Amino acid sequence: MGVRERKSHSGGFNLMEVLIALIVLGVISVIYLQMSRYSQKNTGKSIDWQSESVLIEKTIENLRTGHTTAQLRALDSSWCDSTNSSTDSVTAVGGIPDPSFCTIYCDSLAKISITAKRRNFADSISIVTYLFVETP
Amino acid sequence: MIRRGISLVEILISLVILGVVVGIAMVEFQYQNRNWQTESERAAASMMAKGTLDALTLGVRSTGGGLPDSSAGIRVWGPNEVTFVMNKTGWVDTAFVYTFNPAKASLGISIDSAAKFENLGYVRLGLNVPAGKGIHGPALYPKTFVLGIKRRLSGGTCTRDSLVLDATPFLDSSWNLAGDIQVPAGQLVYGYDSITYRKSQDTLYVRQDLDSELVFAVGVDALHIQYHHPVAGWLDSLSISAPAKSVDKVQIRMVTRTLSVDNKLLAQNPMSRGYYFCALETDVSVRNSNLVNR
Repeated sequence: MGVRERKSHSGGFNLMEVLIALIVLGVISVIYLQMSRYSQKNTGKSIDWQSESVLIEKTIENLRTGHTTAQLRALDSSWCDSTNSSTDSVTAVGGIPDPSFCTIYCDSLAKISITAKRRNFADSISIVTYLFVETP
Repeated sequence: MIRRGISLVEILISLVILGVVVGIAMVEFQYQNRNWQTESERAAASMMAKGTLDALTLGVRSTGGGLPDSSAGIRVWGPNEVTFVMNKTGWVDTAFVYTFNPAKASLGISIDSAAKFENLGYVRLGLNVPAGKGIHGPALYPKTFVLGIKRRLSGGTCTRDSLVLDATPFLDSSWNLAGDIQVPAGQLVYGYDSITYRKSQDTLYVRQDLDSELVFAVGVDALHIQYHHPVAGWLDSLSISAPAKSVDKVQIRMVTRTLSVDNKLLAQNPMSRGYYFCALETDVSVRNSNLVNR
């Protein structure tokens, strides 16, 4: 008498609450997995860049000696290199430096563009450098 | 109010579901963790290869730098050991006053700046000495020597700095330190530094000047250095063909590997020995055409 019966809410979660919790959990899991895979993918990519940058250095070093300015300017060559961890295709193209770039020794400078690309890979590295050939 | 509570069956079902979920999560975490470890080790091996390649490349490029023509070069000790000689700081000083200390077998020379020379390094300087070993003055002839630096002394603001050099080579020639050897006034003193790389097992060691050998890189599976002779082509050692011991290019091939064995990889590919490898190769043009290689 005089005691009001309170309605209990301790019967557990209803279907809607469970579904929302599952959706939130699913979204968080997907985000986590995506981030993890993206991170792994990028780690692999940095290794590829390194291999290609070494290859470009090697190409420049080989062009430094045994070539005349005219030969370097006329250079248009492509080849494959498997000496590093990956197989890369290399393209080296020569040219004449922009007159505004050089004011002295222009006759001894050659503009060289080198591109290294890993086979079956979309990305590539390209650089432009200028080689000075000492006249004997 | 009736509180129904949770029945034993519900608890068991919940525990089973929780176990399955935690199990899946653990498997995924283990997979991710293993991948992370593998990728970290591969990245470390890759960086080790690049760092070592860069150091060796710098050695080749710097050889003979800052020194007079035909006074330094590449010393090839064997397939796993090479020394590059250069003046690291490019510093050249002038010797003013000199003193010998026979008791300590040392030669002290006063110069402008001792700090510009490498501690425990070497100097290259010309002296006037007798015609040969066992011969004594008074006739003296100019000859160039490379002497180790025992100490560098700062003169502060009032006096000049000094270098204390190792005079043992003169004792070996049985010359008298007082009288048989003169440091000509205004003699140029060049910093003369050597960097030696030596591979043993899977470790690359470096030794600078008179300093102790230190570990430079680990996980070095292979190091192959070749020297290009203008006539004989690529060789593992210096060629005696004319021009003798000439080198115009050096090829460095470096293979590093991960440090721990991956058992899964080993089972899949026994040839790998359970390691991941990173191979880098580069060619380096020798910048100084007047080297004396040995």
